Amino acid sequence: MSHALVAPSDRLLATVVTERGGAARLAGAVRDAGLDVVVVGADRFDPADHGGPRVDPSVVALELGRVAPELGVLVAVAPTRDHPYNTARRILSIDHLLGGRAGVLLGGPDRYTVPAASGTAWGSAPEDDRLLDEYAAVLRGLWSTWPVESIVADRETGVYAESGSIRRLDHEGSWRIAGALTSPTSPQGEPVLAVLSGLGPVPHADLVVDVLRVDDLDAIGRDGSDPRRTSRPNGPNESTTLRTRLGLAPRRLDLTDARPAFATTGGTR
Amino acid sequence: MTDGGLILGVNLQGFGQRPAAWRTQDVAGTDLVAPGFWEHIGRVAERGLLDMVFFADHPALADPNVRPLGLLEPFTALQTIAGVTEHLGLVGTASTTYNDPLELAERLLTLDTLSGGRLAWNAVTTYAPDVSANYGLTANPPRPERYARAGEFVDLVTALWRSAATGETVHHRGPVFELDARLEVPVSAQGHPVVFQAGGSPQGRDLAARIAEGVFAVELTPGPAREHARAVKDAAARYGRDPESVRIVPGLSLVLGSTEREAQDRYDALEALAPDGHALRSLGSHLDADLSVFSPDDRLPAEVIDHPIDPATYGPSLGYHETVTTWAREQTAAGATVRDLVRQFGGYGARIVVGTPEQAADTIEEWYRTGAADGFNLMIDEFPRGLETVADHLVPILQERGLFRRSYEEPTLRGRLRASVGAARSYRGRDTTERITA
Repeated sequence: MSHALVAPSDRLLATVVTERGGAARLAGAVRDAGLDVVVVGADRFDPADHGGPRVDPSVVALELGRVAPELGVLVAVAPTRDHPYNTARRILSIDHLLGGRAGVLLGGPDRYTVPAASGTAWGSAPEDDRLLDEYAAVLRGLWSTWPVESIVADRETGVYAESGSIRRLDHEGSWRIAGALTSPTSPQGEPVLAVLSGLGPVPHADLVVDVLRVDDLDAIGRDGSDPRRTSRPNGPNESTTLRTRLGLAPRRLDLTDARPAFATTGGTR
Repeated sequence: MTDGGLILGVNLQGFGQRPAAWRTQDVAGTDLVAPGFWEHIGRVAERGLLDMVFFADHPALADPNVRPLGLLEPFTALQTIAGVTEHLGLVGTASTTYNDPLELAERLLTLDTLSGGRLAWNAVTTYAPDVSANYGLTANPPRPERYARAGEFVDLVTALWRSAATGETVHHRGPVFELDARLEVPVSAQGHPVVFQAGGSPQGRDLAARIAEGVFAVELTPGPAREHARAVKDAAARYGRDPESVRIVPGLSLVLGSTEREAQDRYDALEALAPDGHALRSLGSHLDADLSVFSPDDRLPAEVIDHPIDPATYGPSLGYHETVTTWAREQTAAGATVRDLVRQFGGYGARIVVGTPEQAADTIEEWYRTGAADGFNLMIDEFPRGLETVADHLVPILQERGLFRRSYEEPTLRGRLRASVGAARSYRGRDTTERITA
């Protein structure tokens, strides 16, 4: 089963960075339509060229979530866009800053990523959809390397984190990634990992998403085609994680068999 | 008295530059991922009229028990700070070794536009083996290769930023990158992000002279600092630039107290709680020597301080190495033991002032007046507490001395950095006796 989620066009997203109060206006239109989740940046997956301005999805998603505590955000990400370590770090950072209201929408191809942009230190970025699940697996693994409960910050003993529970990833595949990630685990276990409908199977994904592109503030939610609209009778709740809103249980990848990242279990003296 | 043009930034290093800063303040361990922690810091920095906040970056997890920092990707934390400030500049570090130029250019210009033209990119190359291992490399790219890539990367990013204004597609054919693209991000109030450079190798300084508008320098003593600043500015002039368009901003570590005794006691208390041997290991890595074999009362032999290194294979920063070696040589000649060196190395390569706000202002004024620095990137003992001390006790002294602004004037970071050129010229040109008696 797939979810249909509203995805403001690049033209609408650009107003978030160009207009004073633009983020609040867009978030307000989403809220007024009875919705509490948006996809940010899905125009890059659209085969049609809509032209006009375009902006970085991760920046706009953080801004929307920051000014609208009732909103959850899914950032459109193609594996060709950035190295998975960079993506994992940025998305988990955004998720922390939004109190567990963030995730990614994996998709592709990304019409704005230019394949000739070679020269990445890690070699040419894979472009095959079949690598989506490997990318998803790497994101999940990195997101789970540093359990947040290891941060005990015990002033008496000098143990900031029980670092023995931090795991390496040691991923070997299209990418070779040691880990651990620089951020501890999310308030929702892991950020949501959605995949665009119509792509190959991605077993690591939480859900499949159909995007409902809107290019007009007044049109958001008007066609009534977001089935979630009626499924949330109590109105937006600021403390609800994105996973909860989407009916997903908290989860983490089990890395107990992975190698410890550090030799010691914490403490400095 | 008006703005003397001094540039002040603050280097946001977790709970503070002192490794034990989380043990001496009322903070929660997870504050480093909490938006409220960063929002408070942003508000205090803006209350102090600072030019900018700065994040270094290390995209690999080091043992958080040594010093917890870097739990958020820098530009996401900067965006959080941008949301609660109006004037503060926002400087984030991103490696040219481990990023994609098109992705980075689009993301940073988007944030620059959102923030009203307050963003800067500190372009660095990365030498750390633990970072390389996260990006599929078993060894660090050699320095010449890193800098060749860095130069082409920065040129490509700035060309892409310009394409957002001109609408003309960039057709780039270089040794490392091939790209036909243009950005369609709305142009920011300052055109595009300011570019800073950090790193004191010959290649790094050349990159700074060619393209940077600011340099995060590593200096321990004013003499060499003045020479390095002059060299970069002269090199900028050879590239046809106004030499003063490159602003030199060394790090400056601060441990402040209402009396010198109080500051010293605070420093000693913080260091006693730090991980064993932290400063010693840091000093040793910059000198490329294992210092644990010496007793605290030893004086370092000359061959340990001055042994030759091969710039092609030595991994860490050449700028740090040069600065620290020069300093250790001078200190040891003056009788310093290993214990003395370690204690005075509390800035980990930057000058440290342990004293009163007046004493910090004295150092700042001396360096600034004599052209050893155009400003400082402050490395403060504790966050948020030490930053509050700077805003409320150090900044007023700098204002009294005619060094620092009393209000924000320029709306963008680039505008402010450019305005500092004329203000500095005017300040340094003033007659010293008039300034003291005024």
